[in-house]
This record gives sequence, structure tokens and C-alpha cells, in this order.
Amino acid sequence: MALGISFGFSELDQPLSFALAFLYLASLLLIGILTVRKNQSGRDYFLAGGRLGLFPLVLTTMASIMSGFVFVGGPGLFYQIGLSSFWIVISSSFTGAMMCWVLARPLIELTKEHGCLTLPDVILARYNCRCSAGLAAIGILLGVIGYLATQLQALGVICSSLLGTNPTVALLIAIGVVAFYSVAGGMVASVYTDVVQGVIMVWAATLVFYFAISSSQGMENLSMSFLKSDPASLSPWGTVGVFGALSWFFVFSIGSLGQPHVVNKFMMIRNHRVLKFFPLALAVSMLLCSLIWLGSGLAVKGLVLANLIPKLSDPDRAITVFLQLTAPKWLASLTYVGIVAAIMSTTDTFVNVGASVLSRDIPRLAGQPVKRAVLWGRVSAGMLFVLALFFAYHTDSLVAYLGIFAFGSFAALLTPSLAIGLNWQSAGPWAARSSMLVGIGCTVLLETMNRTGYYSLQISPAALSLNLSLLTFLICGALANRHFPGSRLLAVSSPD
Amino acid sequence: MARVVLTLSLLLLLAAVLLANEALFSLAVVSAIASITAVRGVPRWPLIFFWMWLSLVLLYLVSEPTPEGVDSRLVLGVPLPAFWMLMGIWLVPILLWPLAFLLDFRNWINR
Repeated sequence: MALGISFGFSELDQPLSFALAFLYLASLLLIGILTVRKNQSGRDYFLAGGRLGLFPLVLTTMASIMSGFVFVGGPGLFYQIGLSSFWIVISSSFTGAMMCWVLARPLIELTKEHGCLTLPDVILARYNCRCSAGLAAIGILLGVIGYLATQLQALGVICSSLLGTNPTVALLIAIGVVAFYSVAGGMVASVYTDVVQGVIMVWAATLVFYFAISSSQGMENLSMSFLKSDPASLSPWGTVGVFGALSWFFVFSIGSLGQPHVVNKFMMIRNHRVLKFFPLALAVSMLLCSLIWLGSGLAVKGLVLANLIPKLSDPDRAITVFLQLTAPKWLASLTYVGIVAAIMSTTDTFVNVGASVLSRDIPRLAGQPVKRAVLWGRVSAGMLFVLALFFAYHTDSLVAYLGIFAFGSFAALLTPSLAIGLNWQSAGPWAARSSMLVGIGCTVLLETMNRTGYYSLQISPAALSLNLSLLTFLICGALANRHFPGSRLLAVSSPD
Repeated sequence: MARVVLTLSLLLLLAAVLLANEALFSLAVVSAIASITAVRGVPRWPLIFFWMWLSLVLLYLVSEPTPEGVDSRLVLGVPLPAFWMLMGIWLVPILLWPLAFLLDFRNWINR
């Protein structure tokens, strides 16, 4: 999800924000140093050794999902289109349970029985099809570069405010830190830092919500001013309408089953029992983080409606305007660290996912598997940073294009093959290949049509792509079952 | 069974778009979510309750008038439709789905 933000604030308590930023970045560096020696194998580097317990699993999953989009883009979107924007995150209350029921068991079994380290590994083991695994690897890699580039852009701009330096220097410092611990420490460092980052994010979001509502003299007062001046902003469907809002609901609930940076967490757990309280804990932590979307968006829109501040020229500035005008300086500093944490936690996970594709999946599928997994993982992670930086600096529109639609393209690419395919023994490689090609083809085609004004359907392009990709898998799976009974493949224990 | 319902839901979703029918679209979305969750087997009664609950809340929200004529009654300081959206789709499912998983956990482990 893209972040084309320009921050311009000068009222931060600079010594406090600098001290908080320094403390935060130093703790990440320390984690990076301490975890270097924990990486002895590819399993350590890409799956944190497969030893995660409940607490780190919940925080690392939440921190990977809640990127800078939720902390910056969310309030901006609320300011722009009101409560209807919330359909993007509203499904977070039940997607954790969905993932456990649908994906956890087959992913854990494939990881344990076939030694899978990555999602293309899983697809290869399940379908015994290099083409499907290759399509998944290339799709994941492209999405990862887009996501990474946008996160790096946002990171530089926010850090410049926190550290009081120009954006380029701040970007280099921030990237230096995140690159150090991601490259050196792999997923082990990523998980430990996600725990720190997740705690900061939850506290920052909760406090922002509390101060947003209390500074607006209560929810009732705020609602009355909305109903008087702009009732659409507090309507469930707002300006996007039923089809637009429910398209988001569809994509972000079902599509969560195909997000590589989220579902690969199931491959890292110690055993099944860790998952008992996982959906509940994940839902509560994501609920708390989502409060920043509601709170600051409501508060800033309320200030504009009351004519206390002029309309924002750039809606993405809603959170910074709120922090400047309403929040105490310590909270503003803490929230900026929270935003940096949200961006970094997503960045490090994507670096790891991308590095695993570059150093393991693509060479392996090309018949040239690498031997020194950790070394090549580190080299690939470094290369990804360079690639993402290149995109971030030179091709803004492409970066934004890839970033915004990364979630939708991941959903259309992987959801059918993972969510349905891992639980349907009869579905063959033909179904996986077809659904991936339809998913990624439709995403690119429909989004391009949408951007050039040739798309006129009420359903969003991402939702239509996901729908067609799922239908393709189901129909091809059923046809293959009828005509090619020999296509029954590797048995992932399944109810059918 | 779950795959058949999922296929029908996805086709219904396309039909709802072509017919521009909001109620049908919301039912199709909820049915797709519920049926994809059921592809590996979930406890039946929580699934049926989850499907009915989300369907009823969405049908209520779809039936609400245009934003200009929005119901202005407040519940906990929030307009009634917004309250049902937040309570019905966001907060109640937190209690419903993760708790259903918690209660089903022993069966899930042994399944």
C-alpha cells in the first residue's frame, strides 16, 4: 500500500523525539547484532528456526500486517471518504481465525514433512509443478519490490522529522538500521524487532484514539457536528457506496489468506498448540492498532467541519495535523516512533520474503539450488534494498502503482492455490497455474483500465480479479478431477 | 459442499454486480467468506450463526437510507448505522469467530 506523503511539521519536541528515535533505532541495531549468530541454516534465516511461541507470533503477525498505511494512510482515507474507509480493516476481527482454520494445518504439515521454507516451496510440494511455483515466486517478488519501495519512501520522510535531518540523510540512516538487522539477523531479528515494534504500535494507536476522542469533547459531540455538516462521513457506505465498500471487505477478508508476509508465519511456529489463543490475541491487537485510523481521522475531520482548521490539501497529512494541533508533544514523538515501527516491521518481513524467493526459490526452480543459504539470503536481502531504493527514487508512479495494488495482486495470485488448493486433494497443477495466470492478468488489466478510465463496473478491480481467480481454480479443479483422475497429487491430509 | 457453496457465492456476486443489486451483493460476499472458511471443516453452528449474523447486519445497513437521510439516533455517541457497522462487523466477530476457534481447538488438533 503506497505512501506518497509529504510531512512538514516543526512543532515536535526535537530533543524528546530525537532521544526516542535514538533509543528505538539503537535497540533494533542491538537485536540485529545479538541475532547474527543464531542463523546457522536456511530454516533459521527464513523461518526463525521454526520455534515461535504465541506472544512473538501474535506481535510479528500483527506488525507485518499493520504497515504505515494503517498509521498514515488510514487516517487520511478516513478524512477523505469517512467511515466507509474502515471496511478495509474491519475484517481484521475474524481473519486470524479464518487463517487458522483454513491454512494453519496444511502449512505446518508441509513445513514439517517436506522441509518447506517458503510459499513457492509449499506450492511446489503440493502441486509438484515448477510452473506454478515459478509463477508464485515471480508474483511475490514483484509485489515485494513495490511494497518495499513505498515503505522506504515513507520511512525517509518520517525519519527526517524525527531526527531533524534532511530526508536523504534520514532515509540512509533508517535504511541502514533496517537493512543491518534484516540482512544480518534474517527472520530471527525480524521477529524480535517486530515484538518491540508491535508493542510500540499498540500503545501509540490506543493513546492517539484516547486523546483524539477526549480532545473532541467526546464522541457524542463529534457525531453531532458530523451529522449537522457532513452526515455521509459517518455513514457506513459514505462516498464509496455499497459495492465499493463491500469490495474492500471481500478483498481484505478472503485476500488475507493469500498474503505471503502473513501466512508464512504459520510455517514458523513451534507446534499446533501455540495457535489456541492466536486468533483472539491477533484480533485484539489489530483492533487496538486500528483505533488510530478511527480516532485521528475523526478528530481532524471534526476540526475541519468546525472551521477550526482549513481543509487539508493532502489527506495523508491528517495524522500529522492531528499530532501537531491536538496531541501532547510526548505523544506526538511516541506516535512518530510508532509509525516508523509500523513501516520497519512490514519492511523487514518483506525483505525476508523477497530474499527467500531470490536466493532459494528461483535458483531451485531453475535447477541450480544454492548451497550456502544464509550467505545468499543476506546477499539477496541487500540486493532487494538496492532495487527497492532504485524504484523509490526513479519511478514514483510505478512504485505507487505496485504498492497500492500489492495486496490485491497477492490475493488474486495466491489465495485460490493456498486456501482452496491445500484443502482439496483433487485440485491439480492445472487449476493452480490457471488461477495464478487469471489472477495476476486480471489484476494488471483491470487496474490499468481503472486508471485510464475504461473500467465502469461498481465492483472494485481487485475484488473482481480475486473473484475470477477463485472461480478459475474451482472450475479447473473440478474439471481436472473429472477428466484427469491421475492428477491426484501429494496428499496433504484433507477432509475430502 | 463448502466448495459448491463458494462457487455459487462467487457466481452470485457477479450476478449482483450485473443486476446492481446491493442486498444480493452483500449476501454473496458474506456467503463467500463463510464458505471459504469451511473448506477444511469448521464447527457447524458457529458457522451458521456467523453467516446469519453478518448477513442480517449487512442487510440492515444496505437498507438504510442515503447518507443525507441517515438515522441520527445515537448509541454510545455514535449514529445508529455506524454503531451497527462497528459493533456488528468489527466487535462481535471478535467474540464470535476467535472464541469459536478456541472452543473448537481440541477437535481441530485431533481432526
